[in-house]
Amino acid sequence: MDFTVRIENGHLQFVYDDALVDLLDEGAAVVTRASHVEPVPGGWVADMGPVDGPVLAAACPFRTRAEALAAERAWLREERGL
Amino acid sequence: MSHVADVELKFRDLDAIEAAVKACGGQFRRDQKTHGWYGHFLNDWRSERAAVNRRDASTFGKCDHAIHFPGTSYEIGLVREPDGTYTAIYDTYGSEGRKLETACGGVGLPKLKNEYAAAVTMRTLMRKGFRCQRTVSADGQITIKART
Repeated sequence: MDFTVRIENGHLQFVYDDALVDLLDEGAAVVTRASHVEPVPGGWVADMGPVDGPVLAAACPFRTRAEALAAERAWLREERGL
Repeated sequence: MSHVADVELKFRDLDAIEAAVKACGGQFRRDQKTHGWYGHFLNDWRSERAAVNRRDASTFGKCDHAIHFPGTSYEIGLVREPDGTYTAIYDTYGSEGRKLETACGGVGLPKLKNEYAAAVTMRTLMRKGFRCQRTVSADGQITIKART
């Protein structure tokens, strides 16, 4: 598995995975939700609002939840460097 | 759905501090109990950043460890806090003070903090068996890629 840890102004930023839990012990840690992946009429959307992002596929929902989750991860990677 | 983590590191691990100082071109002087500064407290800086807002001026110049950079007599002092972390204290005055901030990435010492964070991250992940690769972007952004 591959992980990315971004470092900025003495802060570590990463998409949480239990494999990285030891990093939380290295300082003052805050873990927050990145998105709301929810069913809507016609499929699924990924609302990136918790990280000040857009609603992915709002106009044309993803057919599957897996697609919405993959889009969420791609957005975090491309827009937040995570 | 995912969660994102933000971990604010504070100076704690002396080996990681030493690695960070070296990355900034300095020398970590472990157990040096004083650090170079102007030498006299003038109480002439009206800024929220002024250390006198948080510390007794009689402690200025005293530290638990020091960081030295070539070309300046001023040094950064690391003062141990009750929780075991260290706070970086330094005199920002004039050209001597500016040399410290220049070496460490500017006001607040961001490069030193980022190098410390990178050293801690690499150490923690490699101890767990990760293979790590560090990259630095053109604007100085450090990213650690870890693979199991």
